[in-house]
Formats: sequence, C-alpha cells, structure tokens
Amino acid sequence: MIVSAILIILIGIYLLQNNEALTKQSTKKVASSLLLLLSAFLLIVEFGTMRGIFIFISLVSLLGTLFTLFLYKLKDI
Amino acid sequence: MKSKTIKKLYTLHSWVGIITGILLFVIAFTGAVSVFGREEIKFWTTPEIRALAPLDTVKVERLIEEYSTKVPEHYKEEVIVFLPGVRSSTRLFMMFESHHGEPQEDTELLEGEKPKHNPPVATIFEFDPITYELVEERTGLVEELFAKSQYDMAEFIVGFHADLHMGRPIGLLTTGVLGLTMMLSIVTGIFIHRKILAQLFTFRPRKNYSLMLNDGHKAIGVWGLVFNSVIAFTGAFLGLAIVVLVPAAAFVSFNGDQEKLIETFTAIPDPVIQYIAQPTSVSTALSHAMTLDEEGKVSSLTIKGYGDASAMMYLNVSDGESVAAQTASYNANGEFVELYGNFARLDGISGAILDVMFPLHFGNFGGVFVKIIWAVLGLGTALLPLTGLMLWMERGVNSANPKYSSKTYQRFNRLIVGGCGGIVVATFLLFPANAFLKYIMVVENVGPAIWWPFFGSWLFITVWAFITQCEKRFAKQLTILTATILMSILPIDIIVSGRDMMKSMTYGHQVSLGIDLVCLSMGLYLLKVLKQFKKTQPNSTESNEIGVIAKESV
Repeated sequence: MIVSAILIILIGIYLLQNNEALTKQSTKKVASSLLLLLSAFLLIVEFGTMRGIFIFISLVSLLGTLFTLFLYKLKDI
Repeated sequence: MKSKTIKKLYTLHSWVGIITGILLFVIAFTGAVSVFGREEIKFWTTPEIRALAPLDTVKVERLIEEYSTKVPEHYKEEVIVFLPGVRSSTRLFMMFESHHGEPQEDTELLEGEKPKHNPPVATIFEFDPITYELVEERTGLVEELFAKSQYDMAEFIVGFHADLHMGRPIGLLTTGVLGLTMMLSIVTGIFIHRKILAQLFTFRPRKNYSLMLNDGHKAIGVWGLVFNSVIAFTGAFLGLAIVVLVPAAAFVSFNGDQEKLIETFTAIPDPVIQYIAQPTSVSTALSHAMTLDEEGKVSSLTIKGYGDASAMMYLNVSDGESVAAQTASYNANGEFVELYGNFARLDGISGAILDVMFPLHFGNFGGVFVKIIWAVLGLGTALLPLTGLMLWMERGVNSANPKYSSKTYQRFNRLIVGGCGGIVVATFLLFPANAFLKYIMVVENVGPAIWWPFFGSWLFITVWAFITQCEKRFAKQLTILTATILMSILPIDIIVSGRDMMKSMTYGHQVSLGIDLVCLSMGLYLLKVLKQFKKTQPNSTESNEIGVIAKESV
C-alpha cells in the first residue's frame, strides 16, 4: 500500500511538470490531482485519517523536492 | 503587492536569514539527526538492549511487590516504572516517590500561611534488562536523582536540538525564537517569490553556481513549505511553551502558580485511598496494554495508591495508531478503564492540538518510515538557510557595487564553513566518540564526557576556518573528514556487537545495521559528490546571470 501510494504520488508530480515548469494543460492538472487524492486515500486507509494526511503531505514535500532536484539527471537518461 | 513593499520584504527576508541562518542550520541539522534519538540511536549506542526478550510482566509485578517492602510507606505514593528497550530507557527503572517529601513535624501555621511541603524524595531501583537483577539503588531528592542520571549521545543530541544545552530559560528561548524567525522567513519568502508555482520544477545546476543555489533554495522552500511551517510552529511552541506561555497563562489564571497550572492540565489525578489492602495487578494491566495498539509501544507505567483497593495504573502508549501518545488507565484489578491523550482533559480542540505538537515536530507517530521522511525533510530545512546565506554572498560578491568589502564577505564565508561544517562533523563524531568513551575509556556516564569531543571539534573547526588559507579547500577537507567518520560507523558497530549481530538479527540489530549502512552510503555519496564537484565546478562569476536572478527574486 505504501509503495503504491509513493508511486502514485510520483506519477502525479511527474504529470504536473512540463519542461521544468508547472504544466498549463488542465487535463494533466486534473489527472494529477486525482492521483494525489488516490494516494492520500491509500495512506489514510493504511495509517488512519490524521496520520495518513500528515504522511501524505510530508511524502508530497519529499518526493516533490527530490523530483525537482534530480529532474536534470532524469533528462540525461 | 507593490514592488516597494516586496523590496522591503526581500530585505527583511535577507536580514533575518543572515542573522539567524547559521544557528537555524545548526538546529535543523541536529533536529534531523535527533529524530532517531529515541530509540534508534539508543539501540546503536547500547548493543545490550538490541535483542531483549519480550517483557516478563509477571516478573515486573513481583519486583514491584518485593521492592515496595524496602522503601518507607510514604514513598509508595507514586510508583513509576520505565520499561527497558523502549525510547531512551536501557534498564528496567523503578521509582518509589513521595511527592510531599519526608514527613515534617507539626508546626502551627500563622494566619493566611500555606502549609509548606518538603521537596519530593524517591528511591530508584534499576534492574538488568535481561536478568532482572538489581544493578543500582539510590535514594534522595528527586531533582538530584534525575540530575545524576546516566545518558549518552542519543539523549545528548536530542537535548542539544531542544535547548543547545544552554538549559532553561535561555536555551529554550533561543530555539523558540528561532522557530518564530523561521516562520517570518517562510511568510516573507512566499511574498517575495512571485512565480511560486510557475517555477515549481525549475532547477538549473548546470548553468552556473548562483542559479543552482537560487533554484535549489526555491525548490526546497516551496515543496517543503507545509512541512517547514509545521516544524517552525511546533518548534516555536515547544521552545516557548515552558519559558513564556506557561508563566504567562499561570500569571493570568493561577496567580502565577505554574506548578498548579501544569498539574491541572497534565497531572494524573490522585485516587481517594480506601485503606483496604489489595494487590495491584500490574502484570494484567501491562499485558493488556501491550495488545491495545498493534503498533504501539508501552514505555512507562505509573501507579497511584499502590497496594490499596483504590489503586490506579496509567500506562503510556506511544508510536501507535494515534498521532499523539496515549495514556491507558487500569484499576487495581488490572481492568482496563479508558484510553486518552495527555491533554484530553482540555475542552475543545486545544487539547488535541497540544497532544500532536511533540509527535509532529519529531515525526514519531508512524515508526521508522515516518522518521526517515522527517529526517530527509529536516535536512532540506537545514539546507534552506545555508543556500540562502550562500546566495546572499554570491550576489554580494558579484554585484557591480558590493555593499561590503570582499574581506567582510570572506570572513562571513569562513564563519559559514566553520560553523555549519563544524556542526556536521561534531554530530557524526558523536558515534565514534560514544563508542570510544564507553568501550575503551570505560566511562560510566558517557553523556557528560561526550561534551568535549562535540563542542571541542565544533569550536576547533570554526576557529580553523578563520586561520586556514583557503576556505574552499578547507570545506573539501571537511567533506572528506565527514565522509571518513560516516564510513567508520559500520566497522565500529561490527567490532562492538558483530558477534551478537550474527547470532540473532532482532529488531534492535536491524535498526542498528540500518544506521550503519545509511551512514556508509552517505559517506560514499559525499566522496562521489566531491569528486564530481572537482570535475564540473560551474563558473560562478557570470554577472549577466546574477542580474537575471536578482530580477527574478525582487
């Protein structure tokens, strides 16, 4: 469950990004929001409401930061 | 918002960062490490508690019964037991305490005079966590007994993060005010960073050094906005609560009586003693509390009115399904009464908020998984003031009309390298220093002795940064030193506990090995980064790019 939530958050963050900036496509934004909501739901199921929300917020912060800082390396691949 | 106002906010953001930046890095970095202070680092420093058998609750009950006969009757007012291998407790700790001290002769009170109480006294028994044999016994004033408590690097680093080991009120006030300044930096940062969402994914490390710092500062700041706000708020609260908020609230509502205020909201109520002798079913209560929450750990037990039919037991359950630590209460027969948060007695939402302050700050509400997230994000929090300071210097040095002389910038750079690099080295040096003091010097109480390598190395590095010829080379040397210390942690642990580790891979050994491997990986990564940095150091003096950054920010 946790691994799935992490992967979904990563996909959600990836969809939000377009050429090192926030995407302007509404479809991508909506899809990303839905994915993030799904991962929040998974974490709430796993950890309970309050813990799940805090863990979701912290995971988005962490994965978002790492994704942004290592995006240039992903482009090399 | 008008550009004039934004410029003012930018100046405020810069100055708050310049004044508090180094200290904020120190607090945030040690905070990221102290997330693991209780109990992961404790497992590393104390191999003897890594493979403890499940608690023998019947044995604990018998020990309380046996040793309760060895203390004066009034010492049984409250019995406190800390279980071994949970949080920072290494031994089975048992304390029989009289809150009202030794009985005093009856003296007539003058009109309006309140009866005076003697200071609380107690007898402490400490037992071996494996054999349950008595290891230490001491009696005296509670304050003195705790002042002489043994501690090691685990408590040292948590204590340093909390109050910089400056104690109350100065230390707590400093960290509390730093939390407030961090909140100020966050708010001003939001206003001055206009393209907050558009540049959410912008990080250009290959263009030049300034852009790398600028983008890194923004990326870490924006993504970590909520986390940093929570850490700043809870940190300010935890720092200021005892030294400012409690005295203020006591002044308003309790005629300045702080103890009364704390007792009203946190103390466990005293039962009405019935003077009917009845054994207290400690074992039943302990066994039940351990099954109460699948993930939770029972860390301590408090018994009021021990040996009486009215006795009540209160067990602390932490790291469970609830964010806040819970108290489970039981009656003398060991029957479960209720489970509640520590501040649950407060009306409304305030009790719930107070209960989550501590776990939210230290990330101890979801096991090691949450602690790892908290530690990495905490490192991000530490990088924020550092990148901000470096950016401010980079802009200053490359500006057409620098505000200060190059000497001033250089001195400040040396202070950053020495102060920040020094704390990193000193923190990781705690691991080998702890092992050296415990196993080679055979120091009984490692805690006070560990001050010397920690503060000594930090001071030495800070001073050396001002003496050395080239601070950049010195920073590289510090990186190599940090990497070497980090890589030495695994071999030290293998030497200390290798044979036991091979015999049984218990949770304690797994945690300890996890620390070893993470430190080894970080050491190797630091060396790799250093090697890459030498090869591809970007040009930092492209004035046209600096102009772009300045325009983007203001």
